Amino acid sequence: MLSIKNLHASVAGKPILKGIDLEVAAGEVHAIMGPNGSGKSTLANVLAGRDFVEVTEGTVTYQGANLLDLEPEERAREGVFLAFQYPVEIPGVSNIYLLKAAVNAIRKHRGAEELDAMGFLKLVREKLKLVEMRDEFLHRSVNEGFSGGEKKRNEILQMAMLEPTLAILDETDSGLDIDALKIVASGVNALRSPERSMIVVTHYQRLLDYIVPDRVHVLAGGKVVRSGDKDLALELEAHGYSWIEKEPAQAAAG
Amino acid sequence: MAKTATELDTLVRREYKEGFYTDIESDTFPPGLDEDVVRALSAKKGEPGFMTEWRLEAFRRWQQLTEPSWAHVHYPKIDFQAISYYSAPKRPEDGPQSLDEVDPKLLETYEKLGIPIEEQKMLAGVAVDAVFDSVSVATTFKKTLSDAGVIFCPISEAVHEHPELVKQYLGSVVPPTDNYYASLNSAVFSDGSFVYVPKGVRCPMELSTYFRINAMNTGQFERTLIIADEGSYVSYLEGCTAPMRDENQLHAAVVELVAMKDAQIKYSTVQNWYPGDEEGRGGIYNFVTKRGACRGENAKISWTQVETGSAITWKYPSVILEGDNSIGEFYSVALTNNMQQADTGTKMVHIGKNTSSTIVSKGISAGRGQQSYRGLVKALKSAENARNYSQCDSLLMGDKCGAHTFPYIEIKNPTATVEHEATTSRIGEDQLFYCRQRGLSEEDAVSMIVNGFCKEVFKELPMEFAVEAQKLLGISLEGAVG
Amino acid sequence: MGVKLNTDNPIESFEALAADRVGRDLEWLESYRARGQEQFRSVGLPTLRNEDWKYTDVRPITRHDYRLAGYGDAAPADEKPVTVPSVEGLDAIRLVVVDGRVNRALSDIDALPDGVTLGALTDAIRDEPEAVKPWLGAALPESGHGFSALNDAFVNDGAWLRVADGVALERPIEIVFVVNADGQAPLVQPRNLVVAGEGAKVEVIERYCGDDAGPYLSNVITEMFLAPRAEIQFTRLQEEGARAGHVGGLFVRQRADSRCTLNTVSLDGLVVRNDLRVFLDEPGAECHLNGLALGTSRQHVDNHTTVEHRVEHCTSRELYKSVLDGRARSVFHGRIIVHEGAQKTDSEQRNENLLLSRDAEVDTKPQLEIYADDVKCSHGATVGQLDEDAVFYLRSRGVSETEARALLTIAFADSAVLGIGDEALRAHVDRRIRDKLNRET
Repeated sequence: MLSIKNLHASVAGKPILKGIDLEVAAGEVHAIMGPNGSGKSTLANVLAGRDFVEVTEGTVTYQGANLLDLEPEERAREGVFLAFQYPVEIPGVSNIYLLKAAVNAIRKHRGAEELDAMGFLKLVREKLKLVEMRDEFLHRSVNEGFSGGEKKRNEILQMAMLEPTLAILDETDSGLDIDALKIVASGVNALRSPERSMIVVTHYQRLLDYIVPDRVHVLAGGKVVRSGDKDLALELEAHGYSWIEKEPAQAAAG
Repeated sequence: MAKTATELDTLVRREYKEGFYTDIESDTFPPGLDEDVVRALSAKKGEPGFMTEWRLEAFRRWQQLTEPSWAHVHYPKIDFQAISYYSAPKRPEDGPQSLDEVDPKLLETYEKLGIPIEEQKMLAGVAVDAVFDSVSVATTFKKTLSDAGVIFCPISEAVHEHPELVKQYLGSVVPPTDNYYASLNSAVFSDGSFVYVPKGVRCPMELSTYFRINAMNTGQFERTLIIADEGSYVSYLEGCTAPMRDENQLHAAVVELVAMKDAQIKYSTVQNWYPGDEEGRGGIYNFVTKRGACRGENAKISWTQVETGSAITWKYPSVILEGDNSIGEFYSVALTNNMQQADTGTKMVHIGKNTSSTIVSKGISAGRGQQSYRGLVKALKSAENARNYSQCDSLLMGDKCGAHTFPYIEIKNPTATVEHEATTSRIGEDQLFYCRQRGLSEEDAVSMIVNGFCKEVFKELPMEFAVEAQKLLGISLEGAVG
Repeated sequence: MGVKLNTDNPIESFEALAADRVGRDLEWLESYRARGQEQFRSVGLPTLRNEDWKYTDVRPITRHDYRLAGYGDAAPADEKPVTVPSVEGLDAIRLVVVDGRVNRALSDIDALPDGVTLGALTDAIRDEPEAVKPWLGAALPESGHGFSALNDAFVNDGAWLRVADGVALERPIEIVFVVNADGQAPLVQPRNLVVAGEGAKVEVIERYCGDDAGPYLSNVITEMFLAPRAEIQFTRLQEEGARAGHVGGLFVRQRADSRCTLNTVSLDGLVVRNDLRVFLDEPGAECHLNGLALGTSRQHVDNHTTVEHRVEHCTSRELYKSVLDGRARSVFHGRIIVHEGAQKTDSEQRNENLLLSRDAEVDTKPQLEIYADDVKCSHGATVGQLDEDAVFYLRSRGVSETEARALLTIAFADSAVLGIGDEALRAHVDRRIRDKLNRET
């Protein structure tokens, strides 16, 4: 599904990612953890095609093709979905309008019929239940005046509508209280399937209590310094990041 | 009422034998403007004496005025003596004979806007069959209107048919001395619309489709006068989303609105004249004076405009709030791309008690476009409890464009409440990326964001106009990002 | 001393003062003055026809036969007692300027901290002309109005303050300008230069005071220069005499990462006009402009501000307020100009006005001129009354309506002077606001 090899990337000339290797197979959920500034969000942004991140070395192969060659909208249409850490407000554009435009752009790309108004409405109502939101929510401007929890639930709603092949959740848990976190997590879990891979980027272990990963990777100083199963996250929780941050230093010394 | 050509010529010959040298056989005056030209123009139109005098007075005032220079626009000096001030309506054989002869780019735009083929021909100036459908459609409209008692006709006709109304109201809101272009317009106006809605009548239809077909060839000095008598309502739509063929570079129109007690006038404009090419060559100079007067209690005048065309726009649709509790509104979307310049805004003059006004202005600047919002909110001493709310937002696309905001607020009454807010920002990279991450193309994303930005204004437009305006905005912005 | 200003032909007055002005042997200075005369001849005094003066009629303050003050060796004020009003509790290094001349005897500048130069501009021109030369006129825009040209033409004395690189002053510098109108209608035209070195930090307080006995005109220009990372906290407090005119120019140039706060508080005087212009010349510069105009009876206060974002990554914040009673009138004209290439500009401007009487009037003209696209700019202007909900809230807590209104009015005005650094000065301004509003309301 996704294969990242020796990925180096910088922002404004400053190297952030310094050789990332990551293999994600279909249906797997990978968690990427790490302290602030370790490059987690940069990695998410590289995958989605944010242009302020410059890839200086390495490859990203997605479904056999070079992902880095694609424009952001092409990636989206190929099934790459990024749930933003800070979902953007777009005044005057209603939520439902954006959803409809996006769903149809992607369907068109896949050679499927565009949904008519009724079909679309039926689908969106179904997905709304998933994130426990009401109809009126659809007619508000995209993310404008939404609470933190509403914004994140909106991201999951979009994900449910767009049915991605690879979903990247960038700090989806940040700023959520426990109830909102549960709603978001159950929305995500409902979308788990053998064809869909997910990368869950998070600072804290608590999200992983609800979205249980197949693999956990710890990022520090722009590199994956440790990989393991879900127990790694618990170990991290117990010891803190300082425990892991020492390791590359030791490696460099030795 | 129409005099034959020979009669007219005789008239012209008789009155102007000394000074007037034009070849009277010709349908177009040679360039130049003096009192004789004004007289000849009035005679050509067979106007009654009061109109001739009115025009002459305006001309004399115009000569004493100087061209305004305060607007934030730059253009070469206009030689007013190089313009011809009368030209008879074009004969069909002068225009293109079929759509094949029309600039394919123009047709492409028509396609995108979804304009029916027959209407495309009209707009492109293609000779059409005399029994073209629209004419009969127009006749039907006319019947509906006259049944309701609404007068709606060319102003040239109103001068003859309703001289008492014209005498009473023409120039009563925009006096011939008002400003340089208004004076010029008063002296030489070609034609335009006249609307009178009698007491208590709600105009049975939007005055739009009819206008779209019949407003052709009103010339470069258009004059519109709309009177809504007590308790009446009228919605008037001017212009057209389709770019029109036009050879006149200077357009100096005057629009006057009069709303009596409890009357309401809603005036919507979509302006998409030729903006010039990417280097700014050609393009219309659009110097317009539009003003409404709320003469009675509870009167309401509402201006909505979508301005995407013209090389230079200079336009401030205004409302004089004389009647107590009267309301003025101004909703505007203006877009400048390439080398376009626009200096536009409004004036709200609060005179009566409890008058209120709302201003919502959305400016979009792309390419090397320069755009200014210029507005005046004035509360006179008598304007007890006047209220104004103004919101002016500018959206910038590209680092060579400019957006400027010049509001003037003059308050002489302590019970007035005025609030002005303005913001300027770039089209958000974050917003663009967000939309693209959801699968939208960059152009669709821009169009969606821009339309969202303009939503408050579009919702004031009549439905079908709003849809067209949205498409128009998308087309006008093509190539603005990339 | 008794040369009258001939505004039709200032050259005449200039000739008459020939012997008294400092630095007659300095070619650059003389030609600077000559350019000022030239400029004045071409523009004259402003009238209502001038767009920048359309709301301010200067005739009430220009119709007098002014006597040019501030020339000659020692001000006659030395010989007669001068009262210099103080600010309670203000602990500052003090420079006193009487009738346009720096008065050493009344000043307290003998023990200055290391790296600080503070004294008379005339002395600086005499003793170290080369140190003055690069700064004089360097913060002024290309073409100023008639008053500014007049100050240029007669430039002579004023405050000269220089803070060396890296020096941070603990005590503020207070410059008190006192005018004895004395029925003589003096025209004082101080020129102040403030030069802050790299990383220097200083608070400067300018206070303008005068007697109510007769008309006089303060036509002041202060130029300030901030080197990289310099910080200036500046307050101009206008407590001029009741019949006085005050035309105050404040021109600031800021280099990289410098920061300044400019507070302008206009309390007294008949006609007050302030022209502020800040040039943000290098990236990272930040400025905060705060203004309060408190007008009563027939006072007229006109605040013109211009912030020029000339390069990328600069920040400006502006808050101007006016409270008007009686027949007072206030004008606010705030321009923010974002030049081409000044990306990432972050600019906000607010103007709020409160009218307390039927005859008060306000004219406001906030402007944005933007030639770059990656910017965040906003402005807002309001004219209105006190928030009735707030009045009600206070009343529901037992406060009388009169008291509630007074409280809210004072709170409204106070918020515009929060930027004043020195606590004693802020307390003084607060007191003055209260006194003035309580007296009038």
